[in-house]
Amino acid sequence: MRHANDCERVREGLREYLDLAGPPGDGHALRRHLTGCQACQSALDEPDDTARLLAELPRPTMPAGMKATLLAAFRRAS
Amino acid sequence: VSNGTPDAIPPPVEAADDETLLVRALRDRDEAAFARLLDEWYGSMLRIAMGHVGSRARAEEVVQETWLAVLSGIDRFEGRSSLRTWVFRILVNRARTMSVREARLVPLSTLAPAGDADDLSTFMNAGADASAPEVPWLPSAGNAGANPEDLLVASELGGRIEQAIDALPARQREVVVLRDVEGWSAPEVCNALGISETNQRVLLHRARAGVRTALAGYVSESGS
Repeated sequence: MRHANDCERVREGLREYLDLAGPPGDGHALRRHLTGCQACQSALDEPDDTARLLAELPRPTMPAGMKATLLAAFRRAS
Repeated sequence: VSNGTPDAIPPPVEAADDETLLVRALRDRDEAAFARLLDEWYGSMLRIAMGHVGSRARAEEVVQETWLAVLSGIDRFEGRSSLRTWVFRILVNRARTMSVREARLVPLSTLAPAGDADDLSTFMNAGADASAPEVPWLPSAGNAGANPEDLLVASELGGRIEQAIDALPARQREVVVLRDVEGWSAPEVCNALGISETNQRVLLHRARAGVRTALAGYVSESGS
C-alpha cells in the first residue's frame, strides 16, 4: 500500500530528476515508484501549458518538389 | 481517384483517423488521401528526422526515403500496428541509419561548411523571411485573412517553440513531437519507438521541461 506522502515525494523528486539536479542514484527509486504507481503516472500524463502550446504548432505542408516526386512514385506503384 | 466510382463522395478529413479506410485508400491508390497524409505528417516527420541528421536537406531526404519505403511496403502492411506507428517507426530507423552513415563518411571538419553553417538556424529563424517556404510557423496562404500582428506573435512564438524542440536530444524530441504535437497516446509512442512506459514518461517530461525553460526566457523578454 502506497502512501500519498510517497507520491508527493516522488513528484517533488521527479521534478529535480527531470532537471537533472538530483543525484543520479535517485533516478532508480523514482522510476521504480513511477512504474508501479497509477496515480503518479496519471499526474504526469496530464497535459500542461507547454503540451497545449505544442499541440497548436502549425502544420507545415510538404515542399512542392518532394510532394511531386512522391505523388509520381505513388502513381507508378499503381 | 482510381476506385472506379467517379461520382463517389470524397471521404471526409476525419476518415484519415480510420485506419482501415486509410490503408484501403492507399492500397486503392487514392491520391488525394496520400497527398493529405504527406502534408499532415510532414512537419513532425521533419522535426524527428532533424534530431538525428546534420542538416535539413538530409532530414528531408529521410522523410522522402521513408515514404518511398512505405509505398513499396503498403501492400504487405499487415495492420498489426497502426499505419502511423509503422510509418514513424520506418522514419526513426531511416534517420538513425542516415546519422550513422553521416558519422562514418563525413569528417567532422566538413560537417558544417560555410554555406551550410546556418542550415538549422536558418530553418529555425526563417520567420523573418516571409518568402521562405515550408517553415512550420510561417503565415501560409491559409492564414491570409488573419490579423498580421497576431500572425507575427504566433510566428515568433512558433519559432521559439521550434528552436526549443530543436535543442532537445533526439529521444526526447521523438517523444514530445509524437505525444504533444501529434497527440498520440503513450502506448502508441512506446510501440513506435520501442521504449518502456516509464522511459516514455521521463523523456516526455524532460522534453516539456526543456521547452518550458526555453520559452520562459521568451515570455520574460517579450513582457519586459
